[in-house]
Amino acid sequence: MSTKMCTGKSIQIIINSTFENKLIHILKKNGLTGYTQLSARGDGSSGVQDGHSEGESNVMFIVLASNSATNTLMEQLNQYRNMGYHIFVYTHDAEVLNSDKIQICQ
Amino acid sequence: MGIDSLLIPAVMFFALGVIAKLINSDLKFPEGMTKGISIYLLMAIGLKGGMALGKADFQLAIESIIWATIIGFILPIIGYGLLRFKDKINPFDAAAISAHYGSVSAATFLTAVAFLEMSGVTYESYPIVMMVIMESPAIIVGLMIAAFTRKRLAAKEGTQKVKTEWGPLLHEAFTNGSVVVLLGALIIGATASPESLSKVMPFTQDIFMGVLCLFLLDMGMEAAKKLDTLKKAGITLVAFGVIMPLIGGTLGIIIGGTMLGFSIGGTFLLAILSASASYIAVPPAMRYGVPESNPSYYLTLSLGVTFPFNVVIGIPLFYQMTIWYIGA
Repeated sequence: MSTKMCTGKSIQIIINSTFENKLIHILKKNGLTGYTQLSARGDGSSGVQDGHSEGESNVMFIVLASNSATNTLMEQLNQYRNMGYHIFVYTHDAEVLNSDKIQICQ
Repeated sequence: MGIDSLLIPAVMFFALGVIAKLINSDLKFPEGMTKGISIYLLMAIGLKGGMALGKADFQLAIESIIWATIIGFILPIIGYGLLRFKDKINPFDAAAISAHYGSVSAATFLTAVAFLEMSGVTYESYPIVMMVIMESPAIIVGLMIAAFTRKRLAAKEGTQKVKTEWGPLLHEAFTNGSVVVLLGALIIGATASPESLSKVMPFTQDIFMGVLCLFLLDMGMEAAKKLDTLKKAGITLVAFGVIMPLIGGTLGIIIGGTMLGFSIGGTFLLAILSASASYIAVPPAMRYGVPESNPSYYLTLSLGVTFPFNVVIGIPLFYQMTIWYIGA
C-alpha cells in the first residue's frame, strides 16, 4: 500500500539578510507560515556574500506551497525584484508527506 | 612620526591580514568571531568614554553632539555632490556611497586611539560620544536622496511612484547594534560607581589592545578580499575613496580645533571620525533602503580603499595636519 502524498512546489528563495523580516512578512501574508531558513554564501552581481557583515550575508528560505500560492508569491517577489532587491528564486515540483502541516493540498 | 606610526602592533596585524590573503593562506576566523570582537571593542571604548564623560564639561559635551550631527549631515551631501559631478555615478549609487562616508568606522577610530596611546598623547572623551552620534544622520541623508531620486524618476518617466518605507529604515538607523552597544556602554561608564567599574577593567582595558590586533588581522584579510573588485569599481570611485577622507579629515580638524577647542589628541580623533567610512552600520541600511544601488561598490570602497588608506596614510597624515593646525 502506498502512502498518499500531496503535490505542490518547493520554493527556494535566496536573499540578503537585510530582506529577511520583509520576506517572512510576505510569506505569512500569503498563508505560508512554515519555512526552513539556512545561512547561504556565494558570489554574484552583488559581490561576495561571505557572511562577514550584515550587508554581506545571504539567507536561503525553503518553502513548500501549493501551485496557486506559488504563483501569487512569485508575482509579489517579482515586484520587489523590479524595485532593485536582489532576490533569487527557483522552484521544483514537490511531493510532500506532511500535508497536514503545510496546507500544500488545498 | 613617519614610519614609526605604522609600527604599532594593530597596524602591523592589519598588514599581516592583507599578506595572509595575498599569499592565499587558509587563515580564517571562526564564524561569528568578528562580530563578537566588534561588540567587545565597542563596549570597551564606550565604557572608557563614559567614565571620562562623567567628569567632563556638560556644555562642551552638548556642543560636541551638535557638531557631530552637523558633520553627519554635511559629509554625505558633499560626497553626493562629488560623485554626481558631470553625472559620473548614478544617483542611487551616489546616495548609498555618500551615506557610508558621512557615517563612521569604529575600527579606524580604535586604531587611531591605539596610535595615540602608543605615542603617549592624551585625548578628550567627547569624540567617543561624537562617534555614537555620527553613526545615524548620514543614513537618513542617503535614504532621503534615494527617495527624492525615485520621485524625480517616476515623474520623468510617468511611472507609478515607489513608496519609501520610512518606519523600518529609521528604526535601523537609530537602533543598529553599534549604536545600542556604544550608547549603552557610555551611559553605564558615566553612571556606574568607580569601584564597581574597576572590577571590569581587566576585561575592558588591560586586554583591549590585544583584541584590537585580532580584529585588525581580520580587517586586513577582508580589505585584501576587496582588492579583486577594485577594477569593477573603476578609477572614479577609487579616487573618491581617497579624496573624500581628505575632505572629511580636514573638516574634522577645523571643527575640532577651532569650533570645539579640543586638544591635539581630541582634534585628531575627530579628524579620523570624519575621514572614516562605515562598513558595519550603513551597508545593511543601504542594502535594504536603497536596493537600486550596487552593494559591491560601497563595500569595496569603504573596506578596500578608505579603511586601508586611513590606517596607513590617514592616521599619520591627519596627526601631522592637526599639530600644524593647532600649532603645538
